[in-house]
Amino acid sequence: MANDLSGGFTNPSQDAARAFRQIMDAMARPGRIVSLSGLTPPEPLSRAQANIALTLFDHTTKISLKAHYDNEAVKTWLSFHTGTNFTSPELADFIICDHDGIGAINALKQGSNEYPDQSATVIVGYPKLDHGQCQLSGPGIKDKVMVSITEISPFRNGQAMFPLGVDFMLTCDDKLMGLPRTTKMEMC
Amino acid sequence: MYVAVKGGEKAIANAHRWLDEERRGPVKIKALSIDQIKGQMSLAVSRVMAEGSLYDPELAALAIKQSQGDLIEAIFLIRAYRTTLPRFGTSLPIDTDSMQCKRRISATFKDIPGGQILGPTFDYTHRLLNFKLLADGEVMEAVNQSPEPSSMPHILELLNNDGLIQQEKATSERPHDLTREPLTLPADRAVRLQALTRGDEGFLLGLGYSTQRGYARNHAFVGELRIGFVEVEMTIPELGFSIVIGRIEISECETVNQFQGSKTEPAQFTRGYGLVFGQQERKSIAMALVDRALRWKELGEDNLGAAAQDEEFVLYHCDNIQATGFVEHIKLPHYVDFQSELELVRKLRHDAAELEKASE
Amino acid sequence: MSNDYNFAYLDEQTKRMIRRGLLKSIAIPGYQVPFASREMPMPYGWGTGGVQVTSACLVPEDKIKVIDQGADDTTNAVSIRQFFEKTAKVETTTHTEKASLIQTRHRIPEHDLDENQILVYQVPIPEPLRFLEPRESETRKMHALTEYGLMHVKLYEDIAHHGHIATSYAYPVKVEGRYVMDPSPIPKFDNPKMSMCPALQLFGAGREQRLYAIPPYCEVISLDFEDHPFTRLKANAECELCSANNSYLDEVIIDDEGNRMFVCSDTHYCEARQADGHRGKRNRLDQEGYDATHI
Repeated sequence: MANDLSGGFTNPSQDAARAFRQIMDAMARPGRIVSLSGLTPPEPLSRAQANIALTLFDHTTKISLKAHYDNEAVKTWLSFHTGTNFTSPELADFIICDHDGIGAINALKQGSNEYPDQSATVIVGYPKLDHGQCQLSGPGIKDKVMVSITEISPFRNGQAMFPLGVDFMLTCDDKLMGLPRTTKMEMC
Repeated sequence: MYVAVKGGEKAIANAHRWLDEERRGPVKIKALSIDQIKGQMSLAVSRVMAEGSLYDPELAALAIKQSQGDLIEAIFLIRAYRTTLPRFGTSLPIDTDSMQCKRRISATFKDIPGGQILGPTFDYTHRLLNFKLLADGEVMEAVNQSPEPSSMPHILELLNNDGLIQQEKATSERPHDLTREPLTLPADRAVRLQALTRGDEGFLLGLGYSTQRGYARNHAFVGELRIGFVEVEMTIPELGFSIVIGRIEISECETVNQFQGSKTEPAQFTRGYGLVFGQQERKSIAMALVDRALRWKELGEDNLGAAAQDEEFVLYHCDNIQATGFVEHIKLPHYVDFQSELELVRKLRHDAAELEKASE
Repeated sequence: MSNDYNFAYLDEQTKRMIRRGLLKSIAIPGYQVPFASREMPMPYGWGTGGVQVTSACLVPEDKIKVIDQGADDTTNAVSIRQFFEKTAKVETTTHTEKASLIQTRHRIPEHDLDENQILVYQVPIPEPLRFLEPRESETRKMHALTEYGLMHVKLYEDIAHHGHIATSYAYPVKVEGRYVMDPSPIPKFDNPKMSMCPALQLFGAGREQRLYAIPPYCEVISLDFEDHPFTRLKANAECELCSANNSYLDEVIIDDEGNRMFVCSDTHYCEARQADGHRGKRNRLDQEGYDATHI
């Protein structure tokens, strides 16, 4: 049983700092794929998702695990390493789910006109992150960038008008790509 | 020949050494000990603990020593240290009913159950310099007149029992922590009281005074002022029950204020509240006045536009560490900004002169 | 000191709180995210916001540069640089192009920034509307409703009164067509450098408890009017040490008669130009008493 809780940061302060720089880079430059390795989380949590969790979650954050992420091993591991709280998706600061389980975005926290930052971030498991047929443009992107998103609607259905909205982090194993609310998406 | 000013690092190091020398003063004179400050400047220690939001007389005394007696600087040292401390948990609310009072007075009743206790106060001292203290004058020992009762009910609760004073509603809501969450407005009373208790004594004194002079006057009397030690309890999750983790000295002031009432609601007095670490009588009274003034909306009063009623104004300006930093920061180099203004003024003058020439 | 405190001074919980705030600020360019700013061991108004942002972003591999008024050697810049040397043991540099993270007060370096760099601004008053409306509750509403008429009225009154917009630093900008933002008290000469900048720009206001950001390649427009377009402003002179004619200049009084000279405010830019052999009129090699090591 002891092994179930292992696989966290070896040097929490510096590991979290390095992970954050990658996460920030990904969110500041949508379409850029960064690598977050070094952890061994329980299934089905990916290494990238685990890195994001250990870098950003603590007892002040509310987390929602959807579908197969909602299992005891994941919960115990996240509780042990972050002390975070679990809640339902509509109250959550962070939601962990797969790309086909995002659901209606307007059921999540999208912030208010005065405080659009009080909105959810969805940490999505994605089958493949690479170059592809989806064109991204907007803040953080010099011109445009092509990525392997196969369907736009899960990220845009029910997304509120800017500045309100939900931000996405797409993960696949140790890969992370940011998709903040400002990014324009177009299938080519 | 022009040589650009360099050597910032050396200048800073030298300034620090010089400061240290000034702090120490003449070396022929014995250095102050922390015990001396703690024991003989206890009111300064109280203020540093209160506005520093950290109950630790020893560290407060150290801060006073290190800051050459500049109390705002000492408060700053304590605050900066405090932020680095990990949180182990939250204590239970303290029970001031069971305070071991060294001072307890009421202005609204001649006598009170448990008695008025004058305690160690400057109140009736004639403010005459005591030249005996120039030499090391000995003190006369105080006579302890009566044993302290173990529990003293709050006077205003006696009024409460008769429905004569407005009821404070208990809440199970966890209060926001001003030092961990950003201040957002409107702020609830718990946040306001947190801001006031660590707010600058002088600022609150001035604001409290302004309410008495008519800027949102609220007709206050000190219903009860008590100073003494209370126990701090904390629930230890591993034990499943609470234990006493220490004792702190606090000053608590409840004011009885202007009564309210209407045809349907019987008349009732209202109240203001002040609670401060250490022996801080002046601060606790001022705090209660300002607290009461800030409650205008909740008590259905008019906003008279007075400073003490203005939550945003009071909460954004009562913190002396924020204030002193920003007020003093204008001594930092601003020459880039000044240069841009200089160029602009020159340009405006040049354009004006051109215009004048053209019209001639 | 370094042993008693966490990496880069702040505790991990505080860093996480700032990091979450920074990610939201990046997702909403130009919007001010409230954060529970901590009390730092330096006074409010002296860079506590910038220091907290830097501290939350720093990795051990960083090479940082700290400038105040464009200079690496002003006392506050020295003090903040020493703080990070002590608490994070990171390498420091004065070279703009070699730095991975630059913390600045009041200037943007002359040398173009690149994609591998982060520029952290120290901000005293983050609210561009503050001097028109002192209440946070009101200005927040104005941002929510995109109600920036008051700002335009103010700028237009300037024109009516002075013939020009009378704001020469902290000149308001609009980010990606949405939020009006205070660029911190940089001279308006620097404003155009913010737009389409390859580097990530982060802003921290400690006392006012606000974070905001401009992601890379964002459109940042200085507010103006068709008949009074925005113009950059600098002294009409060239640097007397390195002869640069396109850099922001400081005016230095050099003697009791009030004689003055113009020199680059960006000390590294000026030194690099001199090292490349550029010479200003007070700095010719033939001039008596010149000693490059003192400049």
